[in-house]
Amino acid sequence: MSDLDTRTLMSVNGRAPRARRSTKLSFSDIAIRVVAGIGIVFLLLPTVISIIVSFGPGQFPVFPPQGWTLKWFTSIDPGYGDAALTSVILAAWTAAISITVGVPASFGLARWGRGANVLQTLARAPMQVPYVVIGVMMLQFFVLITKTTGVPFVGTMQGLVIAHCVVAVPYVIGAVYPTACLLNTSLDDAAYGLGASRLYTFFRVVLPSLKGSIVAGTVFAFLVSFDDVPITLFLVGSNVQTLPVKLFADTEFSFTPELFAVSTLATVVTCVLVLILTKRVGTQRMSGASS
Amino acid sequence: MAKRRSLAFVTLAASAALLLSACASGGDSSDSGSQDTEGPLRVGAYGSTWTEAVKATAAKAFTEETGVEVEYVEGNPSDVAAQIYATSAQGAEPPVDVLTTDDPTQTQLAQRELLVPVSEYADKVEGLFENVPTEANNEGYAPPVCDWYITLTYNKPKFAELGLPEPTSWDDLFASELAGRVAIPDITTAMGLPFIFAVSDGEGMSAGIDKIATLDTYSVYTSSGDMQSDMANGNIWAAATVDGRGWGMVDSDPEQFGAIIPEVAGADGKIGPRAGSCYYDIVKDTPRLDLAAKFMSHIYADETQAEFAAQTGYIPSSPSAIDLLISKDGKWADRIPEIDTTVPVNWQEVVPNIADLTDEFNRKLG
Amino acid sequence: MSSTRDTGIRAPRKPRNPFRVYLVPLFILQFATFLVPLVLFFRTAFFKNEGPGLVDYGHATLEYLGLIFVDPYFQQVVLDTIIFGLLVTVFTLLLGFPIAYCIARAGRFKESLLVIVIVTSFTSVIIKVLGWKILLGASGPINSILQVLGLVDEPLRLVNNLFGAVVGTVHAVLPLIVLLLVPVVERVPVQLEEAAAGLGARRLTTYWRVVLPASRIGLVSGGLVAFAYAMGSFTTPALLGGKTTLILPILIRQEAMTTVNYPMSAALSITLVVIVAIVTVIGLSVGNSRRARVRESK
Repeated sequence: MSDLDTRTLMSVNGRAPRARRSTKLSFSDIAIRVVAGIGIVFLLLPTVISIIVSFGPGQFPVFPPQGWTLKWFTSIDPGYGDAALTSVILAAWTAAISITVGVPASFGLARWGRGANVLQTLARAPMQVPYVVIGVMMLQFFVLITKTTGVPFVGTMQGLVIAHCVVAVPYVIGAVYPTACLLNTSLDDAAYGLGASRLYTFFRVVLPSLKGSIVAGTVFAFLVSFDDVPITLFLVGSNVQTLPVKLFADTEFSFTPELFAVSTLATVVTCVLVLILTKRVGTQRMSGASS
Repeated sequence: MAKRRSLAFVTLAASAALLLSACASGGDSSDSGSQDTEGPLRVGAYGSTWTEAVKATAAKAFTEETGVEVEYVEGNPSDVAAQIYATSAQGAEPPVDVLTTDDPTQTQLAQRELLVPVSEYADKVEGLFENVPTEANNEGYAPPVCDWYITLTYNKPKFAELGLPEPTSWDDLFASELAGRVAIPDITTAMGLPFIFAVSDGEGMSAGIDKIATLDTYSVYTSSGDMQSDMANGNIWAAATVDGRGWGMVDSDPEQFGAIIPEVAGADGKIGPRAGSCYYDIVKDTPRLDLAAKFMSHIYADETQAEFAAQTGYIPSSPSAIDLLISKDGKWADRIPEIDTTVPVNWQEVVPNIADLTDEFNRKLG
Repeated sequence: MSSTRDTGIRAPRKPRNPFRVYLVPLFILQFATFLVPLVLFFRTAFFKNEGPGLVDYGHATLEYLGLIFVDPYFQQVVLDTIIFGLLVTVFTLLLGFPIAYCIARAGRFKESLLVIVIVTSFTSVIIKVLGWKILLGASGPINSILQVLGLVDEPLRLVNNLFGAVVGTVHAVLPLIVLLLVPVVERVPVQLEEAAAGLGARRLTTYWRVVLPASRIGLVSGGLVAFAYAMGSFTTPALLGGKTTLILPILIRQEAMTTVNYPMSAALSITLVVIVAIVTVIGLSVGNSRRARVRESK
């Protein structure tokens, strides 16, 4: 039974070819799986703890909880719902704009040639400035702009979107650039040689090969925006509040299991959304396996 | 893939629309000079239970009387003040109309003349502050709305298990049996400086910092909630806390937790320290001065303060409010000491040196 | 597509670089919304601090930057920051690469694993920190298990120190790095590994000689992301690192928010940015060496 036959068969079925190994797992194979397993458990632990704690009866988050109750879920401050919605809208805008700007930029960087390193450093620069600095400087800058143009930025959605895009775009580049570097240039040379325009080549040849990284980049940009506290803390206003900042402001004052209940709900909702997303987009596409 | 292109165009178009709409709505910012009677009134307050209590008491009464909604910018006074510093540096409208201040923040903002002195709005509201002791920390600015102390909160069963007696003075925090299991506030918190004062034995703040450097702590906390969580989980057995938090722990489980206002060494047996107060101040250049003043009258009212204390544990400054509180719930009688048995922190002296003290604290404890 | 020639096939010429224009939107955005505010802010580092939030632009000075160079306290902070960053980077990659590899080669389980990774990353950073505070506490589950198993007599100090800070920050940035590395590993064709095995290489050799080098650009990119994240984070190290873990981001926040000394915080920020820039340039040069690029494009 040759590998070639199996591979042909599998691609006929439309599934990615699986790694064919000798049936005996070597030590390194086991080791890498053990480490990965530890890593997954590591990722899950705090989330699991916080979910468990949200069901505890005491007014302080205690582990292990001394009882079982749903009362924290029923008494969640409605302000959290508004804050969550704001966070989602903000993150969606940020992701959309970051991808539009970042993906072509990554591709351009990958094909730049000499001096790409310096340009990359510049492009990544916002990631290297501590967010608290970005928060302060954006606040001062926005106030200046508002003073001269009359357009409000602090405490508005547009101000937050701009500030978030500044930090999200480098993440998109970080995700898309490595894959863009690995693209086979002869592919688009061939397309170009066959008469396609550059733009057409970009949309029809390059982007599909980058699909996995683009999805990853979108997720990053969304995450960075959704979860941000340091920058948003400076730029929220009395009528624009995001979920993590509200949580932060509340925890500065008091830890109640209510906060954990909010987090549990957010986790559940995210889980559902992500499951829907992966079913639709399919892991094939997410992983960027090329056709 | 035409989908992808059109997606990009849609995004760009939408972004342009977003920016344009911003320009449109930006045009009608009120010019200074005319009073805004429409609101909403923006208030800076601590998050969580504090804001909840404000909503349930003063804000509710305010909205009922004026029909104006209240919006909140939640965060510690220093966080809100940071936004005020930034906007004032550019001459723009402040982000809040009224904010909760603590001693350091009120002193700093007052020094920068970013607050409205009481004299400018006292005539707008009848009898404002008549129930409150008017000896203000900062002459001419809002007087205290609540006072707070530093308490020593401890785990009763653990103390018994370790053979330690019930604590009576701040030195009890330094017991060797408690090594690695005590929590103290960081200097950047409101209780940080009073705590240093408490253990300084009357010999100055630097001496206090040196003494603290000898303590083996579990944590130097920046968030009281964090400390409470650690205490509830048994990670720490004793802590220096704000009195409201201490009473909160006791109320949550009187068998498990105790709290006292300890003796301060070098102060003739007096207890404390009477760490400080909370205030509400109106921010300079707010276009809603009348509304802000009205809000102040609600928040300083006795009924508000008594209810606020019941919800948050922060003791009112006004003697009549205290009486009201005790009449509602007798347990507060034991928790509120007579003023003259307590030691006050001299904020006027401490605040000018905050930067140096912070630096010293970081260096010695880092 | 129209063509002026009638041959239908254009002569394949290599234009100077048509893709450079793709970078224009990025740099416009960067300039207007990042560079300008940044320069304005950094400018304050060179002027005297007059009081909370007040900078005297008439009085230029280098004292703040000078202080950072000269004072051993600040030198220690800088050193701690770099060590912290490196620790986070190393452990994130050590955990992240195996996870990414297993996900990439997982087949059936890929979807579920990816879901787990993404969902855990959406938990608010505050909640993650609280979770770790409980887990790593002196009376927490980890210490309790260790004591029950008799491995330790006294509870270990796992939190409010550098260990806690590193654990928390690695945990925060790990999902990002895993998501970044999965496509990179998938780009390494399974057939390569099979070929190596067919040529008689042991699994370890295959990992070391085939998979890792092929993933090099991704690893460097991921490492730089992790390092930059560590350099920018202050919530996690502040809450889990305790008083003794004083790193630049925490100090910057303190100077900007509490003592409101803008010049000092700007000076510290400049220092931080310079550190990160140096590390990034080194890292990128390592990752983008011609050999690496040539090897990967095959």
